[in-house]
Amino acid sequence: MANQENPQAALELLILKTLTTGPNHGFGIALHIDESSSGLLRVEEGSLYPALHRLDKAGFIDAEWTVTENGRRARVYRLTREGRKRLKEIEESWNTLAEGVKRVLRWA
Amino acid sequence: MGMIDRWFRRRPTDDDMREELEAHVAMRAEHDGVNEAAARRRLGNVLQTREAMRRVWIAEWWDALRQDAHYTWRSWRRRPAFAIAAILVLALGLGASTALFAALDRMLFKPLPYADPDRLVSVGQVTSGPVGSIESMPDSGYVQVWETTPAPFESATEMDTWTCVIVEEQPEGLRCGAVEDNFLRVLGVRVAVGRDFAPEDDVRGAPRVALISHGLWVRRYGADPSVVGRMLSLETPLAPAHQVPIIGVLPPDFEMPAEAADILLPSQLRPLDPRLPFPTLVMAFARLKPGVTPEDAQRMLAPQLPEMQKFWPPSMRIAWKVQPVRDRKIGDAARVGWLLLGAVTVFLLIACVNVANLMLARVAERQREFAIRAAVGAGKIRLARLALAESVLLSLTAGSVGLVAAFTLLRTFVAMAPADIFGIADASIDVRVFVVAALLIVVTGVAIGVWPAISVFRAGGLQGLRSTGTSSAGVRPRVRFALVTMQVALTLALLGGSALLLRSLWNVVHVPLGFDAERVITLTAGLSRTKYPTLAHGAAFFEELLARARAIPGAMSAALSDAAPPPRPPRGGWTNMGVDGRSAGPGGRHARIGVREVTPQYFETFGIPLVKGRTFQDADWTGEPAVVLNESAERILFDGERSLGRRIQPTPPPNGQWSSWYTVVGVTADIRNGQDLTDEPDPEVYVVARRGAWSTLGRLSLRTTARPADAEAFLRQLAADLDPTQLVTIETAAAQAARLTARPRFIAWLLTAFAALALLLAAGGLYSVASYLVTQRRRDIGVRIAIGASPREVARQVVGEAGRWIIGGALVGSALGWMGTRALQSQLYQVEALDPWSWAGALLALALVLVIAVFRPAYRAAHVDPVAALRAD
Repeated sequence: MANQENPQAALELLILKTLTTGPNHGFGIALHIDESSSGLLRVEEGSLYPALHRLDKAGFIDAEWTVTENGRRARVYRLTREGRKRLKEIEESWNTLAEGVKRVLRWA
Repeated sequence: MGMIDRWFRRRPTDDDMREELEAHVAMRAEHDGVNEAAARRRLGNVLQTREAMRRVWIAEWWDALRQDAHYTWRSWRRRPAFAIAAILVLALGLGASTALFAALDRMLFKPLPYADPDRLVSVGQVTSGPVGSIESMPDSGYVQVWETTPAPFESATEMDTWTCVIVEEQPEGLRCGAVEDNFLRVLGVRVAVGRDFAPEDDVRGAPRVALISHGLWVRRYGADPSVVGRMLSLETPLAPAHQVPIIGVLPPDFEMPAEAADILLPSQLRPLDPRLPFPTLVMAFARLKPGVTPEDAQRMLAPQLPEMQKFWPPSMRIAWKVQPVRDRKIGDAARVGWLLLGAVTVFLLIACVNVANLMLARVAERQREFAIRAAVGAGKIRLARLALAESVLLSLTAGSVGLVAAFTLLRTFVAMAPADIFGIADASIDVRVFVVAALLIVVTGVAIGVWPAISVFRAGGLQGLRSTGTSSAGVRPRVRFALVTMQVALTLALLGGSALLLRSLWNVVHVPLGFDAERVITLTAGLSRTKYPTLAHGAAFFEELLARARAIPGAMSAALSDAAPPPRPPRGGWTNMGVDGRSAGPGGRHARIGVREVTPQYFETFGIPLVKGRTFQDADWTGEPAVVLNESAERILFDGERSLGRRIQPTPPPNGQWSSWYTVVGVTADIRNGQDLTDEPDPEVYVVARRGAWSTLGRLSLRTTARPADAEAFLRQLAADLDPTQLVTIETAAAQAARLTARPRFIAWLLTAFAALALLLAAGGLYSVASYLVTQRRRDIGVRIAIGASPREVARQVVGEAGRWIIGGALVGSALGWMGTRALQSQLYQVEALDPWSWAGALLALALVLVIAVFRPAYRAAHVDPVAALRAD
């Protein structure tokens, strides 16, 4: 699976984090990341879906076809138990990394 | 979401991916208020994205396998009858093969536990005639002629075994081996504990030392390593109880190259004792020099023959027999092993063909499913793999079930098997068996899957959609019929073989023994030499027993003898017999004839008919030495001349007391007296044991009117009254005779069981194909009925078609049987391998069962409703 060095790890972290607010479809996830980072983070839509499917295959999220409020069929993803565990792990390592980088930057 | 589902996580289809991306584009367009083209641009290259998504799901090989397993499991759940039938049939085939392999492994395959066992040979001298099978060598010949190891051998050794007794707190009767000191070194075996024999242990008169078997060490000494140096109080035929120190323990897998032994002692042949009048026989073994074959060795030893001949009586012409230790150990039984293995292989083959046939039927059923899979992008290879995966999974499941069944089957085989199947008593499902079973499972899986896989591959999937499912697309019935033909052929071969063996068994069981075994019960006792140190002591025991046995209720007559039928050759062995008034030597009438020591009433006890003269009377115990001949002996010795009143003499006498002439007082009918029930009667003479002086009497036979169980209880009580610690064996003569038929019984029943199951499978296979045929042609049949064909005609057509394939199978089967039963001939008694009755019976049974199998499909064909059949599409 993806590790911290992999740039995909950041995307995975964001996807998993987003899904903690509830099941969502791909577009919804992209939108949520966009909005909650106040536009600072913009999801590369071309890599969003492969990432979603990677997470699905790994069992961190489950997919299901449902119908949205505006009557549209959408593939909706939901966080699984393994997904939550995984999220905790990446969050921790991400925080460590971020803290480390911050310190180095202060020194420079 | 359960673990199982997670494991088999469903792969989204290409449609899923396409639709998901389209939904995204639509939502983006709606949200941003732009048109779809702009939204699509934002996604980048849609095709590339979808490719990336698909790549995520492209499974590694074992992921794919998991999927295949999942599909297979689901399809089994939908059609449990198919899965259960296929698994059972295969499990039976695999279980029987595994169990039989386990039973025969030691006999046929497992290397003997020696270093480089292929170079170990037994070197014997054989003579023509009844003792021809004894591959021995006179000890003096071994010592003198083989003073230096003969050219073809690297090293040579000798051994012999006798019964012996541990005379201690818990007495134990065992086999002792007397071996040359280099015995283990020649075999390439190292002792597990202690030391091997040294040359100085093997000198006549040196203090005896003993090696004990691993089994004895564990059983008697609790595997105590300090056993070395302990004293063993041992009694052997050569010496009364004496103390022998244990010097070592043999390895756990040790096995004697011939016979068996729990204790090894040095044979101490050297230096030869000049006082011993006759050489005793030892068994010689040798290690061939590299590159020398047993045949070479036999040729190279030929010049030694005249020298060796000096140690044998002049009338016995000897020849060398050099053969691998394995062949000597297993002998003729190996044929039985191969026969059974062949039969079970054929059975497994039939099971495979049967299941392959079922699978083809399923492929036909699943044609549409495969077609749909092909349509949504599954490649031909993927589909063929799916078909193959199912078969592998099938054989894996069946193999596991079969392995469990093999444990039970093996126990049954071991219980049923005759004692001469080497090593069967310790047969177990070990690692070797496991590996073979695994191999069989894989081969079976591929064998049953290859046809369905090919047919799926060829069909390419797409045909199924175009066709209407039940008409002529899909698996051609010809393939399935070909499989049935094969099955019928193999089944016929098995049936024919089992019919032959059953007939042969019938003949063996009904061999006239030549005497009346009913109501005869025998008691055998191996007397301890410690309690009965001289022959006279032993004789006193048996004479007293005889006197008391004659007095028990129901006793009609009783006698002692050295050995008693059913077939048990005389203990005295075969000897040359001279006739008074004729010169010995090449011109004289000398013949080798068995000598049996008996007491009066022997003939009455066994009901052996008297042909002329008289039988023994009590007066013969002490009077002039008298002899009774059987008819064969009379023919050989006197050849039509008068025999009564003439005198004969064994030369050389088998023991010191036989130096006198014996007067012929009577002639009795021949009885079965060879090694086996099927051996023709050997010439034999009966002499009266001299009271108190016989050597080998060890058997009391009693004819009684009492029930066998009562008679046994009486005899047991008698023996216990005389000597409460003496071990005796009591058995009816009929039971002994029955035991001699154990081998033909075992082979016949096993093969018959295989044949019966095979017949059942063949019937099932034919039924399934014929049904398939009817289903497939339902429409045609409907049309034919609609235009006026009678139900009878329709049914006849189905039967006729099936009949063609049955006849084809029967023809091929006859050819197979004709070839296969040649191997069977050695196991047949008074039945020819091409016995017309057996084959006719087999054909009849086959035809009968198969006709029953086609009956229902034919009936269904006759009752096809033309309207429904035509409307079905």
